[in-house]
Amino acid sequence: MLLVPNLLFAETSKILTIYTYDSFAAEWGPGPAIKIAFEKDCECNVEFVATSNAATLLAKIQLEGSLSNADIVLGLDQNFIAEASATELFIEHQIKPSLNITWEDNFFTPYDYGFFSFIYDKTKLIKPPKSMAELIERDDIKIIVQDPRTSTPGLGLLLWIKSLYGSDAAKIWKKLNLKILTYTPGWSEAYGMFLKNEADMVLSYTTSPAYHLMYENESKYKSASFSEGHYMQIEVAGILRSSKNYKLAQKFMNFISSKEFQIEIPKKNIMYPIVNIDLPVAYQALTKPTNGLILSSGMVTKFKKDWINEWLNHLQ
Amino acid sequence: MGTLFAHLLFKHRYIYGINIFTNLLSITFVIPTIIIVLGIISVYGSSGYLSSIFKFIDYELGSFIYGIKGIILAHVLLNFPFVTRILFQSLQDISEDEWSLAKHNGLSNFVVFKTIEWPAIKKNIPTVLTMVFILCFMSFAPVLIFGGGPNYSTLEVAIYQALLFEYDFSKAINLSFVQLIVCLIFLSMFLLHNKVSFFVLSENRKSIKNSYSLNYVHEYFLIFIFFIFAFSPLLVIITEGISSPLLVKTLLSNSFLKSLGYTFIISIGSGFLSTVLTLGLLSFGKEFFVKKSLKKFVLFETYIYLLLVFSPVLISSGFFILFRKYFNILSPGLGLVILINAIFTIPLSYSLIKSSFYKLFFEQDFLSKSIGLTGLNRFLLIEWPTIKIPVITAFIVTSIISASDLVIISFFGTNNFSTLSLLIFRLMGSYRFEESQVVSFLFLLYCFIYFIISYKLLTKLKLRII
Repeated sequence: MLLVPNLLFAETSKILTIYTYDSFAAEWGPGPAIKIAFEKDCECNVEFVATSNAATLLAKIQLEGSLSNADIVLGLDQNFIAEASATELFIEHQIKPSLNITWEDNFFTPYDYGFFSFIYDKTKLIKPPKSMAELIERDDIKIIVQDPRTSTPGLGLLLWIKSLYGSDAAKIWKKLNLKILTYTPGWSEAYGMFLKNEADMVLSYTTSPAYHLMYENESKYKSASFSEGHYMQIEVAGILRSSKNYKLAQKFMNFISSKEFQIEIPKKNIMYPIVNIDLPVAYQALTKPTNGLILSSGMVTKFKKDWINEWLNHLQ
Repeated sequence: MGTLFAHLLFKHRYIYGINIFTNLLSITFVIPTIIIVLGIISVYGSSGYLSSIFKFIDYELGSFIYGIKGIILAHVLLNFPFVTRILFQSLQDISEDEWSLAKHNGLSNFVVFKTIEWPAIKKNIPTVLTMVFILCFMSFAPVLIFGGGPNYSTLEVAIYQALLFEYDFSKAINLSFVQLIVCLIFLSMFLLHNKVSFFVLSENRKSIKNSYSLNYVHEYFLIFIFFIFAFSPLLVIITEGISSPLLVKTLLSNSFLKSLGYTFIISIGSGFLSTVLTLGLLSFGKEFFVKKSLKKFVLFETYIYLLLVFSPVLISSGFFILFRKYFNILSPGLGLVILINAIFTIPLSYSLIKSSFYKLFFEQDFLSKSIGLTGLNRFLLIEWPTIKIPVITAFIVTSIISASDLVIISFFGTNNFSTLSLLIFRLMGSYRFEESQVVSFLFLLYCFIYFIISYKLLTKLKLRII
């Protein structure tokens, strides 16, 4: 019943192709609801094409180059925007949304953000560390983190340590390494191992406990608040130069900061929205870090290799 | 270890179900490593079953699986079932006359092993060692996870990083070359020692009449231990899957059913294509035999095994570029996934079929020629009946490997085009670990059913000359 009008409609209307990562487009992610909401008054069809994770998004775009079908890429984070802009595959979006975070970029606009954090099980870890400094000094805690070479949170921790300790980062890593049970290639392996009680804490997001609360009615998972502040991740979207639907893409870029779009973010992407809306109840139990740490994208792009090598060399 | 296990299994293959069991061994090898890895953690991890058993006797096992020990344990668990499977195959090729001769002469167990079984096993050892070496060499996730730190990362990690994170294609290719050269050195070391020697008394291969006996109790016990060891990660997945309250919901979900469909198509397609390609290669390979040029033959085998050496990430992106540049196709989809999988699994099906195939060729070539049998007729009359079982095994193994592939599908798959193994990964990527456990279980079940059905159907299949 529903399919028939949709099919008829498809022939006459434009298709907006959005490249994103899988958990955004998946049937349990925010993608499907956002598609319906946007299609209501765009006279178009939204089509998500998903890569297995955010990191491969830029690789895919670069491999496809100007032949890409994509109009919009949604899912890169702030660490990649300097690199992405340098490919010259993106075009300025020319929109000015009002956001609850500070943001200035001509090519990309944010759609959500979050803070990296260590998650623990409060029934097992009675005295969680209150700061990064404490974690580094404690010798009764085992943590699982991700490899900064292959994972976004892993890179996040590397930058977190760098932003806190600067040139002392290498020394800190040596100490921190004693607490690290293992480095996994991606977030999933680490979090899966944590849920199997392999370690006391796992590197994830401050919002992770909200998932367990919303979908599993489980309140034992907590995020450890660190007094030095938490490193931030801001996820962004941009329009491709090769897009044949610039006006429509721009309309979608404006739609990102609408309430209909943003309402899906905390519920289904388990991140914070970039405009002020009522958050789900589960979020009220979370402590939102007040001092988000962030290094500029230009700096990250410039020094990322050096920092990763520094990390590698001091662990061997 | 694989050798010992194969020996025991073979000796006691009259035990009900042992044949199914040996064939199932191929499955542990082919399910996605991430599932095995989490399974291993459930069993051997610091809160795993093993350490809770040890807690009974007040012994704190701790996290012993990280570091070099863990890497080795994981790879033994990942590879030894497959090794056992191949060696079992070579034992099956020993003819009945050799066995009865041994029995007549009253040879002791050890002597039988030394004179009859070992030569049969030995000829496959270089192949097996090479394959296991390469597979470990190319290993990615288990090394990172169980390594406990970046000091243990492999070249594959570096390639992955260069390609997907640094977008540095030339670096990835350079690294692949290094990888290629190391593997080549290893390959040449082993394959050059691969003496091709077959002596055969007759092709009478009915099973020997051993039976259950109390004398073998310790051996039954060993089989049991091996069984537990080989299947421990899987048993955990099965129990966790069955006991999950989400079982029915997941089973009926749209994403599951759709992925199941694609998985099935890819299984059949890649399995068939890979087996056909391998048979083609084998008949090509026997030409080298005819000309008695062993050097060429070794070179030929090296080419085949080299396929294992190429990083799947690199090949997939290579194909991606190829299709984009020359055919202007961005989403080649199903057909290409089937093709790449089929090519990647050739070395596996080759190693499964080759010992039976070449042996048969040695025995029957002269005869077939003297009665003027050639081409398809010869294949159907002489070769097919004998190599049927290994061919079917190869078909099944390659099918399931293709179904469990994660690299190729993640390059070409989308949220509308996913396989079960990709679905497992996708679920894990969005906190849905419990559902992913259910899908892992269902995926195992799928492999099992696919296995049984195709085995039953294909062994009944009779090819006749029309």
